Amino acid sequence: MKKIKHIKFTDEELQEIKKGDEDEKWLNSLSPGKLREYAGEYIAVKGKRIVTHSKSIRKLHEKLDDLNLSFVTIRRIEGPVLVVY
Amino acid sequence: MRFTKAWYKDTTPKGKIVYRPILDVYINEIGGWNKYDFIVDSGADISLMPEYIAEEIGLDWEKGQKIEMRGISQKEECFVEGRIHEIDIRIPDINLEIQIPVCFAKGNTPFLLGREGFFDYFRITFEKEKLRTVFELIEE
Repeated sequence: MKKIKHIKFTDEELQEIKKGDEDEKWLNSLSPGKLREYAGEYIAVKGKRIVTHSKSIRKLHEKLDDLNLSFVTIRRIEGPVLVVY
Repeated sequence: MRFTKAWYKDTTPKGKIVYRPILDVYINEIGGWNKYDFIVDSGADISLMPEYIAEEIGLDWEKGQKIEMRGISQKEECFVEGRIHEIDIRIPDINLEIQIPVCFAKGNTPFLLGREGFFDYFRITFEKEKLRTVFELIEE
Protein backbone atom coordinates (compact mmCIF):
# COMPACT_ATOMS: atom_id res chain seq x y z
CA MET A 1 0.00 0.00 0.00
CA LYS A 2 1.33 3.40 -1.00
CA LYS A 3 1.98 6.00 1.68
CA ILE A 4 2.53 9.48 0.32
CA LYS A 5 2.95 12.62 2.38
CA HIS A 6 3.31 16.06 0.84
CA ILE A 7 5.66 17.96 3.10
CA LYS A 8 6.68 21.51 3.76
CA PHE A 9 10.32 21.82 4.65
CA THR A 10 11.38 24.31 7.31
CA ASP A 11 13.55 27.26 6.25
CA GLU A 12 16.51 25.58 7.93
CA GLU A 13 15.89 22.33 6.06
CA LEU A 14 15.50 24.21 2.77
CA GLN A 15 18.86 25.87 3.31
CA GLU A 16 20.50 22.51 3.95
CA ILE A 17 18.76 20.99 0.90
CA LYS A 18 20.03 23.84 -1.26
CA LYS A 19 23.57 23.26 0.01
CA GLY A 20 23.10 19.53 -0.60
CA ASP A 21 22.08 20.25 -4.22
CA GLU A 22 25.24 22.31 -4.67
CA ASP A 23 27.31 19.47 -3.21
CA GLU A 24 25.60 17.07 -5.62
CA LYS A 25 26.45 19.29 -8.59
CA TRP A 26 30.02 19.64 -7.37
CA LEU A 27 30.35 15.86 -6.98
CA ASN A 28 28.93 15.25 -10.45
CA SER A 29 31.31 17.80 -11.94
CA LEU A 30 34.39 15.92 -10.73
CA SER A 31 36.16 13.82 -13.32
CA PRO A 32 35.78 10.06 -12.78
CA GLY A 33 39.57 9.87 -12.45
CA LYS A 34 39.44 12.24 -9.49
CA LEU A 35 37.12 9.88 -7.62
CA ARG A 36 39.03 6.75 -8.63
CA GLU A 37 41.10 6.82 -5.42
CA TYR A 38 37.85 6.17 -3.51
CA ALA A 39 36.82 3.19 -5.66
CA GLY A 40 34.99 0.61 -3.59
CA GLU A 41 34.42 3.11 -0.79
CA TYR A 42 31.62 5.25 0.54
CA ILE A 43 32.28 8.97 0.57
CA ALA A 44 30.55 11.78 2.48
CA VAL A 45 30.39 15.24 0.93
CA LYS A 46 29.60 18.54 2.62
CA GLY A 47 30.54 22.08 1.67
CA LYS A 48 31.85 20.96 -1.74
CA ARG A 49 34.50 18.70 -0.27
CA ILE A 50 34.82 15.07 0.70
CA VAL A 51 34.73 15.22 4.48
CA THR A 52 35.33 11.53 5.07
CA HIS A 53 35.43 8.17 3.31
CA SER A 54 35.60 4.50 4.20
CA LYS A 55 35.14 1.03 2.74
CA SER A 56 32.78 0.39 5.66
CA ILE A 57 29.48 2.27 5.89
CA ARG A 58 29.59 1.78 9.67
CA LYS A 59 33.00 3.42 9.91
CA LEU A 60 31.85 6.24 7.65
CA HIS A 61 28.99 6.98 10.03
CA GLU A 62 31.30 6.76 13.05
CA LYS A 63 33.53 9.38 11.43
CA LEU A 64 30.50 11.56 10.68
CA ASP A 65 29.44 11.26 14.32
CA ASP A 66 32.93 12.34 15.40
CA LEU A 67 32.66 15.34 13.10
CA ASN A 68 29.11 16.00 14.35
CA LEU A 69 27.83 16.34 10.78
CA SER A 70 24.39 15.75 9.28
CA PHE A 71 22.81 16.71 5.96
CA VAL A 72 25.78 15.20 4.18
CA THR A 73 25.67 13.57 0.76
CA ILE A 74 26.67 9.92 0.88
CA ARG A 75 27.62 8.03 -2.26
CA ARG A 76 29.24 4.68 -2.97
CA ILE A 77 32.03 5.00 -5.50
CA GLU A 78 32.09 1.97 -7.74
CA GLY A 79 35.31 0.29 -8.77
CA PRO A 80 36.42 0.73 -12.37
CA VAL A 81 34.13 -1.97 -13.67
CA LEU A 82 30.92 -2.26 -15.57
CA VAL A 83 28.17 -2.53 -12.96
CA VAL A 84 25.32 -5.00 -13.32
CA TYR A 85 23.30 -5.16 -10.15
CA MET B 1 4.18 16.26 -10.66
CA ARG B 2 7.39 15.44 -12.46
CA PHE B 3 11.06 16.14 -12.21
CA THR B 4 14.22 15.05 -13.95
CA LYS B 5 17.63 13.96 -12.77
CA ALA B 6 20.84 13.98 -14.80
CA TRP B 7 22.90 10.81 -14.92
CA TYR B 8 26.37 10.88 -13.45
CA LYS B 9 29.51 10.03 -15.32
CA ASP B 10 31.93 7.20 -14.57
CA THR B 11 34.56 5.27 -16.49
CA THR B 12 35.50 1.64 -17.04
CA PRO B 13 39.11 0.33 -16.68
CA LYS B 14 39.61 0.84 -20.41
CA GLY B 15 38.53 4.46 -20.11
CA LYS B 16 35.09 4.04 -21.64
CA ILE B 17 32.63 6.54 -20.22
CA VAL B 18 29.45 5.18 -18.66
CA TYR B 19 26.55 7.16 -17.24
CA ARG B 20 24.40 5.93 -14.37
CA PRO B 21 20.91 7.08 -13.34
CA ILE B 22 20.84 8.27 -9.75
CA LEU B 23 18.36 9.88 -7.40
CA ASP B 24 19.35 11.61 -4.19
CA VAL B 25 16.94 11.08 -1.31
CA TYR B 26 16.95 12.09 2.33
CA ILE B 27 16.71 9.59 5.16
CA ASN B 28 16.09 10.47 8.79
CA GLU B 29 18.72 8.81 10.94
CA ILE B 30 19.37 8.95 14.67
CA GLY B 31 22.10 11.54 14.09
CA GLY B 32 19.94 13.64 11.75
CA TRP B 33 19.03 13.77 8.06
CA ASN B 34 21.48 12.54 5.47
CA LYS B 35 21.24 12.37 1.71
CA TYR B 36 21.99 9.17 -0.16
CA ASP B 37 22.73 8.83 -3.87
CA PHE B 38 20.78 5.79 -5.08
CA ILE B 39 21.17 4.12 -8.44
CA VAL B 40 17.69 3.81 -9.97
CA ASP B 41 17.64 0.14 -10.94
CA SER B 42 14.65 -1.17 -12.86
CA GLY B 43 16.30 -4.61 -12.84
CA ALA B 44 16.34 -4.87 -9.06
CA ASP B 45 13.31 -6.53 -7.48
CA ILE B 46 13.56 -4.35 -4.39
CA SER B 47 15.51 -1.38 -3.04
CA LEU B 48 18.76 -2.11 -1.27
CA MET B 49 20.91 -0.59 1.44
CA PRO B 50 23.65 -1.93 3.73
CA GLU B 51 22.52 -3.64 6.94
CA TYR B 52 24.15 -0.99 9.09
CA ILE B 53 21.84 1.76 7.84
CA ALA B 54 18.92 -0.03 9.51
CA GLU B 55 20.70 0.54 12.81
CA GLU B 56 21.28 4.19 11.94
CA ILE B 57 17.56 4.63 11.29
CA GLY B 58 16.74 3.00 14.62
CA LEU B 59 15.37 -0.25 13.26
CA ASP B 60 15.93 -3.71 14.72
CA TRP B 61 17.42 -5.41 11.64
CA GLU B 62 16.49 -8.91 12.87
CA LYS B 63 12.79 -8.04 13.08
CA GLY B 64 12.50 -7.45 9.35
CA GLN B 65 11.30 -10.02 6.84
CA LYS B 66 14.13 -12.47 6.22
CA ILE B 67 15.30 -12.77 2.64
CA GLU B 68 18.18 -14.23 0.67
CA MET B 69 19.35 -12.47 -2.45
CA ARG B 70 21.65 -13.14 -5.30
CA GLY B 71 23.04 -11.13 -8.15
CA ILE B 72 24.66 -12.45 -11.28
CA SER B 73 26.62 -15.21 -9.53
CA GLN B 74 24.73 -18.46 -9.00
CA LYS B 75 27.19 -19.72 -6.40
CA GLU B 76 25.63 -20.44 -3.04
CA GLU B 77 28.43 -18.63 -1.22
CA CYS B 78 27.46 -15.50 -3.12
CA PHE B 79 23.97 -15.43 -1.64
CA VAL B 80 23.48 -12.43 0.64
CA GLU B 81 21.20 -12.38 3.65
CA GLY B 82 18.96 -9.39 4.22
CA ARG B 83 15.92 -8.09 6.09
CA ILE B 84 13.12 -6.08 4.57
CA HIS B 85 11.79 -3.07 6.45
CA GLU B 86 9.42 -0.29 5.39
CA ILE B 87 11.13 3.09 5.63
CA ASP B 88 10.25 6.71 4.86
CA ILE B 89 12.35 8.56 2.33
CA ARG B 90 12.11 12.23 1.36
CA ILE B 91 12.41 13.52 -2.17
CA PRO B 92 12.96 17.28 -1.95
CA ASP B 93 12.55 17.87 -5.68
CA ILE B 94 8.77 17.55 -5.26
CA ASN B 95 8.44 18.02 -1.47
CA LEU B 96 7.39 14.44 -0.96
CA GLU B 97 7.79 11.73 1.64
CA ILE B 98 7.02 8.18 0.62
CA GLN B 99 7.24 4.83 2.35
CA ILE B 100 9.04 2.05 0.52
CA PRO B 101 10.27 -1.44 1.37
CA VAL B 102 14.05 -1.65 1.55
CA CYS B 103 16.17 -4.75 1.91
CA PHE B 104 19.00 -4.11 4.33
CA ALA B 105 21.64 -6.59 3.25
CA LYS B 106 24.72 -7.93 4.98
CA GLY B 107 27.93 -6.27 3.91
CA ASN B 108 28.80 -3.03 2.24
CA THR B 109 26.22 -3.03 -0.51
CA PRO B 110 25.31 -0.34 -3.04
CA PHE B 111 22.30 1.95 -2.64
CA LEU B 112 19.65 0.84 -5.13
CA LEU B 113 16.07 1.94 -5.78
CA GLY B 114 14.33 -1.17 -7.11
CA ARG B 115 10.90 -1.87 -8.53
CA GLU B 116 8.93 -3.07 -5.50
CA GLY B 117 7.48 0.00 -3.83
CA PHE B 118 9.49 2.79 -5.43
CA PHE B 119 8.33 2.09 -8.99
CA ASP B 120 4.71 2.04 -7.75
CA TYR B 121 4.97 5.73 -6.92
CA PHE B 122 6.57 6.94 -10.12
CA ARG B 123 6.32 6.45 -13.85
CA ILE B 124 10.03 6.36 -14.62
CA THR B 125 11.52 7.01 -18.03
CA PHE B 126 15.21 6.51 -18.70
CA GLU B 127 16.15 8.94 -21.46
CA LYS B 128 19.57 7.69 -22.53
CA GLU B 129 19.88 10.14 -25.40
CA LYS B 130 19.44 12.99 -22.91
CA LEU B 131 21.35 11.23 -20.11
CA ARG B 132 18.58 11.85 -17.65
CA THR B 133 15.73 10.13 -15.84
CA VAL B 134 12.20 11.50 -15.75
CA PHE B 135 10.15 10.78 -12.63
CA GLU B 136 6.39 11.34 -12.85
CA LEU B 137 4.41 10.88 -9.66
CA ILE B 138 1.51 8.45 -10.01
CA GLU B 139 -1.23 9.97 -7.87
CA GLU B 140 -4.29 7.86 -7.15
